[in-house]
Amino acid sequence: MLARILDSDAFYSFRTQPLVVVAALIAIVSILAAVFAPWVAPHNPFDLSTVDLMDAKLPPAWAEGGSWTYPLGTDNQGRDILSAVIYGTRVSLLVAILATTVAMVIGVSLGLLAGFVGGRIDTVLMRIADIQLSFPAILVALLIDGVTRTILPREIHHEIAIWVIIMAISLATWVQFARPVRAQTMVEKRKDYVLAARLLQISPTRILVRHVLLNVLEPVLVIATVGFGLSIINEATLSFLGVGMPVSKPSLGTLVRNGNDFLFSGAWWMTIFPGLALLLLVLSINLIGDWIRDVLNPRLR
Amino acid sequence: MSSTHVSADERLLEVDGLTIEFQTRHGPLRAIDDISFSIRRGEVLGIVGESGAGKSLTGAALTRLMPPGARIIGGSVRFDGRDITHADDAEIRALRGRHIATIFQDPLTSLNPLYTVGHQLVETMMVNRGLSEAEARKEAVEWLRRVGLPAPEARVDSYPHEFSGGMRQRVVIALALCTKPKLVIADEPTTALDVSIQAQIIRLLRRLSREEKTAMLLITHDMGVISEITDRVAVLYLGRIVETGPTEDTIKAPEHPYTRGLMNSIPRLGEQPARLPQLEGSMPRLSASPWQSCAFSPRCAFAFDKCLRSAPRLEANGRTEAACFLPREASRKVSAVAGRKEKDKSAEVPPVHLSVTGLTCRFDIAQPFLKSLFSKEPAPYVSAVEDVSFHIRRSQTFALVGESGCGKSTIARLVAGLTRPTRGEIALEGVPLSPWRRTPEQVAVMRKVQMVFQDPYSSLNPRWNVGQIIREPILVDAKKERDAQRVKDRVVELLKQVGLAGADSRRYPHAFSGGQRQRISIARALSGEPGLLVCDEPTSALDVSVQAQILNLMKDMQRQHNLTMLFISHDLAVVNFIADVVAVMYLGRLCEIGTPEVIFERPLHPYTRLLRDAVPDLDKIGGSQAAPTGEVPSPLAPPPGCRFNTRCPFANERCRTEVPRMKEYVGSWAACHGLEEGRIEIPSSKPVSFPKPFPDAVLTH
Amino acid sequence: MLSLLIQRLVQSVLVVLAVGLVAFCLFQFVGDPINNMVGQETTLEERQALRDRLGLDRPVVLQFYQFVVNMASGNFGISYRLGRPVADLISERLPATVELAFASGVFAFLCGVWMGAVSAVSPHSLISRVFMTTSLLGMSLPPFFVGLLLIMLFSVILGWLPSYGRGEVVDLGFWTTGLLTLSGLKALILPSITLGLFQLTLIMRLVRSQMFEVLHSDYIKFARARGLSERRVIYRHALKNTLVPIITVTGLQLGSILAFSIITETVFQWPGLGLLFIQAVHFGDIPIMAAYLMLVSVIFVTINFICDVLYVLVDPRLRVEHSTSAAM
Repeated sequence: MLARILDSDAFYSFRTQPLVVVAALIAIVSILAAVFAPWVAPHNPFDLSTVDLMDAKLPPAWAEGGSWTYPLGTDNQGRDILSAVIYGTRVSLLVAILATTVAMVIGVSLGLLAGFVGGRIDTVLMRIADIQLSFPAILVALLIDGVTRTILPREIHHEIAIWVIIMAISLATWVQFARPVRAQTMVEKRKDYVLAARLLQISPTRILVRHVLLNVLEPVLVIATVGFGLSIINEATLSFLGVGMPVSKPSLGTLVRNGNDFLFSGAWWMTIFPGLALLLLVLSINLIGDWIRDVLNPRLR
Repeated sequence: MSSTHVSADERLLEVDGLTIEFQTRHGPLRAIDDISFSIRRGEVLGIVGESGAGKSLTGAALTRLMPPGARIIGGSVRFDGRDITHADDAEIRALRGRHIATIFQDPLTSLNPLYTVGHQLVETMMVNRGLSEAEARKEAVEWLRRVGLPAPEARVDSYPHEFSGGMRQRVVIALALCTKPKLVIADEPTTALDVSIQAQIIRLLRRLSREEKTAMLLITHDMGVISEITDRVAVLYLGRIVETGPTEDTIKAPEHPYTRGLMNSIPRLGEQPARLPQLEGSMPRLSASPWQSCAFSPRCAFAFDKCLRSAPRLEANGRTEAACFLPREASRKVSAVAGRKEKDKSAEVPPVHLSVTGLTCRFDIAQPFLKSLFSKEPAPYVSAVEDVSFHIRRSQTFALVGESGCGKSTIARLVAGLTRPTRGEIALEGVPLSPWRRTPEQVAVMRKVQMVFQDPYSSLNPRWNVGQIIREPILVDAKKERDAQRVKDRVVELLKQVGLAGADSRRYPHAFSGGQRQRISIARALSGEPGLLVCDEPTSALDVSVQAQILNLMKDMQRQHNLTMLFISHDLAVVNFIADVVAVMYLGRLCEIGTPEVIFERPLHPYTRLLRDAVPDLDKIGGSQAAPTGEVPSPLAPPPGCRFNTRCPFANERCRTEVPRMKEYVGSWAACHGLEEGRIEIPSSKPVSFPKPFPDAVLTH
Repeated sequence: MLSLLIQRLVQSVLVVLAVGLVAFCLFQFVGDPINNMVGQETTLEERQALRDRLGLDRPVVLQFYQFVVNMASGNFGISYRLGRPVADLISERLPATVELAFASGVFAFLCGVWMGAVSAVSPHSLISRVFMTTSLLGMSLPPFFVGLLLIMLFSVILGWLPSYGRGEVVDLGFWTTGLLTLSGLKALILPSITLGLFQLTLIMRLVRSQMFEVLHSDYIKFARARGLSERRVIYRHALKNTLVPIITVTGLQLGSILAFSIITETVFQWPGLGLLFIQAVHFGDIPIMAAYLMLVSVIFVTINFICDVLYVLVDPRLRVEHSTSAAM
């Protein structure tokens, strides 16, 4: 079994592209750091007892005035940037994973339904999808967030902010799953093995789940990876605009927003390091996504 | 080595020892090994072989249009006296179009959909022959006329999608020949076309190449096409030429065991053997090819140890050259095992298994919403099947034959319950299937109908293994076996019956070849213990040598499991071999029904005659029959009255208004006014007893 | 063909109405508009009088009708935050966003098509790999971060370009333009690159994959077999066939530039519609939010429609309603 994996075209493609290997490593490290944040981060930036205002605005360790206690410097409240970045990554990844999963479940189910059943259901769903595609995720998310922000009092809004964002992003991105799944379902539906199954007089649901589902999942994997990267960016953008994760539970985007105010006064590290973390994360995910797509596409070989 | 008795300057193309390899990550893959052939000016050479033999690659190599990764690593190509093996891109481009033209298989994708036909013609001529736009346009119209397009002045500004498949291929031919090249490479030019259109295109190619004195390299898998227009032929097997020579000699008296096996396994009209002589196995894929031995030896009935140790070279062996170590006499001794088909001696007429009465199936065309609201015309529809009635009796093989669009596939789907008819009745084992209420009785009876499909690559779920695929029908029926071990045993037994191994049940479809996949499909169909097996073009996508195996297998299975078969095909010879009763369809209606011996020997209906004439006769090399005329009308607007009247040389006013009824003539049934009125001569023959092939109700209306 | 376009037109109107419904619901159910508009001291009678005057007690359907009429005639209400008519605010800010969108759109399209075509024609060349790397970076960089980095490099460190604002603008009466002054043009550069980068990436990837497919199609193979020069094959055949399906997607992209401008305008403090909207979201300024929604949906729908028309004009296969050919 192991031998088969090691000898496969996929693995060959993997190990001959050092960039992809590096990307995979970065992704794994980020995920592990995020999961084990409380043990990995040198400080807890949200434990107010450990934060000292006297340590505010310290530059990174290698610059003049910095120290290795705070390797990447501190922010305007004295919180350690490195720890903040690690915790921020945790939040960013959490939101993105949940949002992508919800979008995937909604999108794949609706896509299967529309493709297999066709008719009115298909037309209605595709019209909704068309309309929604005209409005980019940001706008939809902003709207939802703006509305909930106005309706709910401030504290409650902060509590459930994460769920609002997840809902906003998944509502904006389910279409990206639904369309290709629908298209692929329509292709598979006409294939002879589905006809052969129909001859057995078994229920359409059974045919859909046991025969068709497995064959439409391929493009989903690629989209999920791309969607994952996009979700991270979307969430970061929302947070940067001030309508995302609050300061009490910041994501990388929130951190960038905070640090932005101090960019001109010279404390560049407060905004650049979270931004770089964001960049590396999304970059590695996109590289892996590209690799998956190349592996699954026979023609590009 | 090419024959040396032709003077050097007569040879337009000379290929010597050509070897082509593919670069893969597992190492180089040799696709073409040391092949040599030549073409004289004005000569037509055919390269024939099954899929994967390398014929397209050979043609593509001449103009350097090979797929990425392929490289010529040995041998030479000389064109018109010049060595072009190592020519650079500019030289090759100068040759393409101007001196060597290519025609590809699919006319739909060969033409740029965004430019008119005229534009593409004009562009080609301006670039290659330096004509002015006005001159080129005038010639474009001329060329369209020469390839047989009606109203060329008007059609020159049409877009490709406005033509039918046959007309598009004519345009492609015009595009290839308008540069007045010295050599045309035609890569499967008729494979995507209907039988009657195929005949037209083939004869067009022959005529034009003679008129223009153009040499042609015709690449095909179809021996019939080869026999019609080629002067010489080379048989390709796994990248090597195994036999070459004048067409007539190669076809009538082949020397190489592969060629002989191939020719023997092709079903022919006029013969009714009990079994088709078949070649065992199938052509392996490239990676397993042994280059130090004869590539055909694993399948050869006469292989001896020399065949396994070294590769034979082409040697003059009578009138052809064959690459085989066998002495001439030895291979000649084996002749095709025939054995005539047993005539059913019993006087008993078997009971009716499937009964179809007045079956009509129309598909509505989706209208834009607003039009459907405001327009007063009835919605347009495709009349796929119109008022068709027939019986199939127990254990009979009933064949539906016709070209694409005639409705035979639709009938298959209707019978299998995959589509609802617009009108008419279907009764299975006496149980009426309409109204479709899916009563337990109906469901039980419909489960006994199984199907074998045309495309071996889409008929098996790629994510299920073979065992799962075969046992699904067993598990679905609640009354059937539940014991896991017994199910497994049954799967293994079925696999063995269809000629596969029990261990194959754990493998996945992608590990099997086309022919093997069809065997799996057959095993799946059998596992449900069906009464009626519907076969929709089951061998059309298979290589010739594999087709014979599958046809024999189906005959065996039918006998073993006592099956009734509904067999759909466009290939008259295949139907002639396998069917007990044949029904000919055209544009949704039945034309003629009878036994194959009768129908193909003395066809009654003008369409059946046309179809029969369009089939290349392998015994008449260089086919001289008149080409069938006309295009198949669209099922959206079928001609009124007898639907064949637009192409029928005997059509009169009545044919254009009144639908003809089925009537019996000398043992078969046909629906034709010309026959009824005596305008068309009914060939005389011995009387044949043929039980009425449809319900009584049909005739009395 | 005509009926298809009419169908699309009807659908477009329905979409705008649907969005209008959403906007209307915002007004109705999100907070009490009266409370948002007046101060604390206003008495109950005064509030009731205002309610009557604004027609807030009439049946919902009538209110919706009034709403639609208002929107259609350009009456978007009064901003809660700034107290001025929303229509005025929009017309003040519109030129800034349009110029930005236009500049970045042109940049993204031209560069995207060129880069995509080059990397499809010679996928293994050095320049192609540079382009692919750029596209990867473009996709992975959050748009706001691009802006920040550009500001850091060109404003803070090098000091060549301004980091906020529009520079000097020339007032043409109904339009204010920054294109006619040097400082205006300089101010336009960084924001348009920021806004255009993401779009450029998407366009480039699309052109590349589409062109790749076209270059491997049978009709291109046949064109080469007919002896047409490589140049002709690429420019006259491949490119044309590539751009046809690209049109629709690019059109949609142009629409989303408007949405992404929210981010860019925030980073660069560009006084356009996007900044107006985000400020409205922070404040809960419903009239501006609703108006922005309507505006955006009308623009999207119009662009979509234009793309549909273009598509039909360019692809001859779409001009025939029923194929009456005997193709089977």
